Amino acid sequence: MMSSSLAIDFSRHRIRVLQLEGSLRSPKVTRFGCLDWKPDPEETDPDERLAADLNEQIRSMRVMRDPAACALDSLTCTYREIDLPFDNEDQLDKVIKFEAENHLHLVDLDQVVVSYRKLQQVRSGTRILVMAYEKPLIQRRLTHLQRCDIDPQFADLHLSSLFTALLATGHFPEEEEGDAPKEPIVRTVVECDLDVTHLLVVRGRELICARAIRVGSQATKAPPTAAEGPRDPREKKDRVLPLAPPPKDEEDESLILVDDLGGDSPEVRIEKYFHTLRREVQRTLLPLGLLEKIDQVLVLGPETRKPEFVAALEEALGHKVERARPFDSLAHELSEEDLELANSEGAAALGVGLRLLGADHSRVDFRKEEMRYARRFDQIKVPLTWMMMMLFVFVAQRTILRVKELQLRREEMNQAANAAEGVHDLYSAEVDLKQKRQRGEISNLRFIQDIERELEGNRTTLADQLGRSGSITPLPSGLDYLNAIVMAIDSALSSIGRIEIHNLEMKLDENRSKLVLRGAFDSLAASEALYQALRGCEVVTEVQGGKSEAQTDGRYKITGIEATLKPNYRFQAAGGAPK
Amino acid sequence: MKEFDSVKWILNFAVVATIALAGGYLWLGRNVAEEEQNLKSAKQALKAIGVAQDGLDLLKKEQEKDSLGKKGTGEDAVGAYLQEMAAKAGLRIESFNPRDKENGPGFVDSRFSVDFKTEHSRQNLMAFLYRVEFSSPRIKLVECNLSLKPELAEGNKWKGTFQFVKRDPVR
Repeated sequence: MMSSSLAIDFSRHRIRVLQLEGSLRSPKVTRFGCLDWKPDPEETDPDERLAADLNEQIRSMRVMRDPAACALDSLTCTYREIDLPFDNEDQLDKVIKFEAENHLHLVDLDQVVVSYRKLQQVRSGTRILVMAYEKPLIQRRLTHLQRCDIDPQFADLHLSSLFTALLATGHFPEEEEGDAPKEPIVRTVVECDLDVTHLLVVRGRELICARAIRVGSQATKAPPTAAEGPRDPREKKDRVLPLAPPPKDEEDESLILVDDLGGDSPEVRIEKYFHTLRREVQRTLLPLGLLEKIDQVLVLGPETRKPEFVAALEEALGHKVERARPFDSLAHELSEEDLELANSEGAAALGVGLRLLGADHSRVDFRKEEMRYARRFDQIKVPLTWMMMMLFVFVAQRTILRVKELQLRREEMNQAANAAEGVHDLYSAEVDLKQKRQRGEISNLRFIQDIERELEGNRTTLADQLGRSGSITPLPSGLDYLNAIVMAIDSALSSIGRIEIHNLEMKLDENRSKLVLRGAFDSLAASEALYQALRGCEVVTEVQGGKSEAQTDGRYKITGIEATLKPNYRFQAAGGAPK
Repeated sequence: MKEFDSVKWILNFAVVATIALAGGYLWLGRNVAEEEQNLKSAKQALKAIGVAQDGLDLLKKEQEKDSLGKKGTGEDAVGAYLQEMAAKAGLRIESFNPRDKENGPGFVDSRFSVDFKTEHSRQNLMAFLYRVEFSSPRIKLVECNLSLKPELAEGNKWKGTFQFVKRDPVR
């Protein structure tokens, strides 16, 4: 999604809103609209209605509200041209207010914001246009915008923005070297707005003079007819809006063309308008010595859409005029009608928008001192700093705890290694392992594990030597087998009765261990009881009865009683106790 | 000239320091986790050391009582040991024969045959067997063939052959 910029141009009667997209190289005008504004004297808070209307206009145009900038109307500004012996802008920034003090005698400098625009180089240095704008007026405009949730990055002046727009849209082209005339082309720009005429004199691409003349093209409009009813008496007053009280002390800016009584005929008013305009243009050009040297006259303004107005202007100025069409050279999404509207009266808003995109490094900005624009970062840097400091403290605290924890773990490990070393000292004469630990060649864990391996090795070796469970299989004990069998027989002796074992043969073998018995019994039942007792013996897995043979004494001789024995029986492992 | 923005400076410092500390915190965390794992392994190893220590103690006690081990490892030592055990049981070995050695996985079994050709009381024979096995864990009875003449049954007199095996680890 392309970034959008919002530009708002305040005039006293009309507010122009423009949205630009893209970059300075390829700007695209996506929205343009106008809001007419007339305050009602009976309103308690006209500013609130203005803000509400503007907000509604912006909402209906569906434009983004940030980043934004505005241009203030030119009529309520006080101008002076002064010459300074340097042109370094950093130096100018420092001294401009003090220098302005010498020229703005009737202005309380604490109550105004002073800005400037460099004009031409003169023999004595640099001529600059000093502009002083009353702080309350700026603050009111900013309040209007704040109520619309708009925080303009700068507050330019309509007059200055007009020049920015025309310069950026190629109305003052750079002259080609091949056919360059000796003198740069001199152009006059006349913007005939409803209540003011803006006049720019441009030599080549350099602004050499700028004026806001209190002559409005509204004066050329026909008064209401009888059918339309009497003109609202408020309109007479509205020629000068409450925001812009007529300056009392400015000799050059007192040319209000107001038909207060409404008695002049239209022809008279039109004649007065063009006469005044011609006189003011002459008054501007004469001191510059350019009266006869104007090469091109560019005109703009709502009324310039009417050919008869342009023709009358040509006649009044005595020079062929051309309509400036700054929007034609830009990409746009405007309808034909909106494009015409924008070309006639949207130039200053375009200048603001282009400056937002980076065009024209103008220093004209009335957002200064207590009303200066605080960038987003500046707005949040203090709470952000607090948060970062808190985060820093939190992380620092956690880190200290971690350090302590690590120290504790290492101490525990050290104690474990010391304990293992104690065991090592008891069971091993080898000092190499300890020395390795002392030299730091092995870790504490490795030291403990090595001791464990060493000790386990010693135990296994000794167990192997002693025939215990070590790395080799321990021998089965024939004595354990005999014990188990004797105990089994003994426990069943009451049922077996008297027996005589004549031969006992036991062989323990990995493949098959067996016990073979031969003996004499009182009865066959006794032999069966013996088999049962053997079958119940824990070392016997199987019993095969032998051959029985009756003896002369009434007893039975039984041979070949064979019991298969469990392999690897261990008496103690089976839970018994040695007897 | 740009004025010195102390808040911005503090913020920058806090960001850099916090990132550095966070890095240190993570590094320490890894070390602590590693050390905890090591400690766990060390505790297991210590437990194993304790078990091995107990086993070794028992075996050493057994070694101290090992009469056969004290006599040596050769066949003569075994003969002398068996003779001593027989004497203690009130017997006298009439024939002692070392047999062929057998190799197993990691050990060598030496087999010895002991004959009692004349009759002896059962108590003496059993006492001999007990003494042989309990005086040294290295030697075990693996085979026996005992016989009793019916006419001597009243006296409980036996004769026969015992075969013992001594198992030695191969190092």
